[in-house]
Amino acid sequence: MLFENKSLRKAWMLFAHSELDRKRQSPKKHRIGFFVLTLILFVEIFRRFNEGQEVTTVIQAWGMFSSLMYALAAQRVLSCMYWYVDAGFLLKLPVSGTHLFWMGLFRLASIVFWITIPCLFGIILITFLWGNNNLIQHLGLIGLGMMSTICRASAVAALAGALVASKTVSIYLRNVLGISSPPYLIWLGILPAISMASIVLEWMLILDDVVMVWVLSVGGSLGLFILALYLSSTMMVSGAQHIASMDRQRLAHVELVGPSWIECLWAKISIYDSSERLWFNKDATIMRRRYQGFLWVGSGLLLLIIYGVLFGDALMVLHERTMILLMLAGGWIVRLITHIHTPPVELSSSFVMIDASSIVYAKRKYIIGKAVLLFLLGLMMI
Amino acid sequence: MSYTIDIRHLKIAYGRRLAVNDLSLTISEGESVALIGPNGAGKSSLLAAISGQIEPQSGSIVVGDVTPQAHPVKIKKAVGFSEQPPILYEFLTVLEHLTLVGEIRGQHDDEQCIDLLNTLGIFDLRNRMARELSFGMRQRLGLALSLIGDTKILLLDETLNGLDPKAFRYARDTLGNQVRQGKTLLLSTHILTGVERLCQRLIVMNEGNIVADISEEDLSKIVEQGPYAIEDWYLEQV
Repeated sequence: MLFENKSLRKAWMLFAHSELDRKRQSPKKHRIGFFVLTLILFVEIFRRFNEGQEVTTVIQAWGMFSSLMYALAAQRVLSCMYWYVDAGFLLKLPVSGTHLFWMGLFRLASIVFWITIPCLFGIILITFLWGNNNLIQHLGLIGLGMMSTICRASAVAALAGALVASKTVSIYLRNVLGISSPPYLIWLGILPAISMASIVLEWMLILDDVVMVWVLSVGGSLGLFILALYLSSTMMVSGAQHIASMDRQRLAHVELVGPSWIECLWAKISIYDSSERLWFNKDATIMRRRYQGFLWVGSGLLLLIIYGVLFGDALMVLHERTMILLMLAGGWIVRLITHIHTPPVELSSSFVMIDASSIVYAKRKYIIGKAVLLFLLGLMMI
Repeated sequence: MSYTIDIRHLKIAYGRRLAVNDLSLTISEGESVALIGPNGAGKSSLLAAISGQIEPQSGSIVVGDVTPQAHPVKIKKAVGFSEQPPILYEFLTVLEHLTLVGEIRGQHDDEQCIDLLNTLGIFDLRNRMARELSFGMRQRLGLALSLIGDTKILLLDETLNGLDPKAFRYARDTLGNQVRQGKTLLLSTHILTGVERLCQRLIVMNEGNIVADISEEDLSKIVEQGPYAIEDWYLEQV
């Protein structure tokens, strides 16, 4: 029943319409980021080639790049499943949890497909320059990365949604742990972050030829996927509903969850108009709650250090700092640039009397602020 | 399946703020009810909860013999819902919206779509994207989407607000036809003039609860008192 053709057809139809809407809104813009990333990767590979680095070191770096790319793709899963612009539209329709799950999976698969392009071209270029003998193995690794990212991330998002909506979990948190107002959305931060960090770790281990990891990765992802598919028919609608209504409740009123002190400071320095600052505050709130990049990047780096300690090179992260900084910067810049073009989801601009140019101005200030912060972080790491 | 809506001790909260507080209400199948009240009275939250879009903190909502929480798909199949402003895909055309919703409801019928567009006076706009529509046109598209398929209950949240007189007439006539076909109508509105032409019952909400609930007979008596009698009566209630 879960694989019923009708379900897939309806999910595909919903996906196709939302894609059509998105593509008409910003034709080809969403692909530019992936080509820019491919270009950055090519420049880095050529730099390493000119320095005369060993092929194994370059492949390690390529693996790190690819794993971070797939982790970035996995980070988008919550937007694919719950925080898409059409969440409000879909919740009005008789759409089952299985439809919502498949539709989210199709959206994620489309992102993963584009993420794969720089990874694929990267390994082909390495093979061309160094004469890599394990091209087939590395292509297999890309296939595994695609499959495991799609299955695992969508499964984890469905499970996180189920936990958010679960009354049993809420009662347990309230009665057993004594948390009077359980932080439901924490599941949406923790589970995807763990899943993303596990993608990075898995790639590192696989590149070290730990065969068992292949088996665990495929088996684990498929197992999670089947469990999520089973749960989605009963829990996905209420999960999506819970998350959407919490969003409506919290994000419709920017004053409830304000920006951090550092963001406030930046807004005070750079934005004079109060309505523009309102928009800045809203963006800051949404970005922190939805795109918990720092959380998963932090988890990923921590796991890399643990991996380094376990496998004898505790400072591996520092050796690869250029690559990591590049990834951090690249990921965030792509994320933030797409954010400029993202229309406000929760608060339609027709509700708030702010003209479009002021919104763009506030968004630009937000991006510049983040870029400055990233630059400072980078300086500290170096 | 019966489509009587039975609500008992309903409580809906947003954080610490109570939107609906211990509300009980029964709406029989085929009844047309106007829901009026000041902004923030809890009308939208009530409609969203009946349609299964938000989950109440406590209390129960039963439509026929099922609850929106246990059978969201079943309820959403029977319920046509339209909010203000309607949530739409900004870059899809009017016809694409109707086709999508019709297909999802499993009852796509080109003739029904064309009839609806004609009845609501938006047939000429069928190939326009939602972002190109004016406020009133969007309202009418939202209404059309709630009528697509074999819906039994119409939950309309301020759908008639902001329409020009011609569009208002189109929308009111369309809804009148739906009510005559035996559909249940729950219409949240701020337009009091002529409300008796569409609704048999009037409910006034304030601060999350019902402060007045009058039948068709009482409504007619108030309306007969003069052109502004209904407004005066409403202001007395809130």
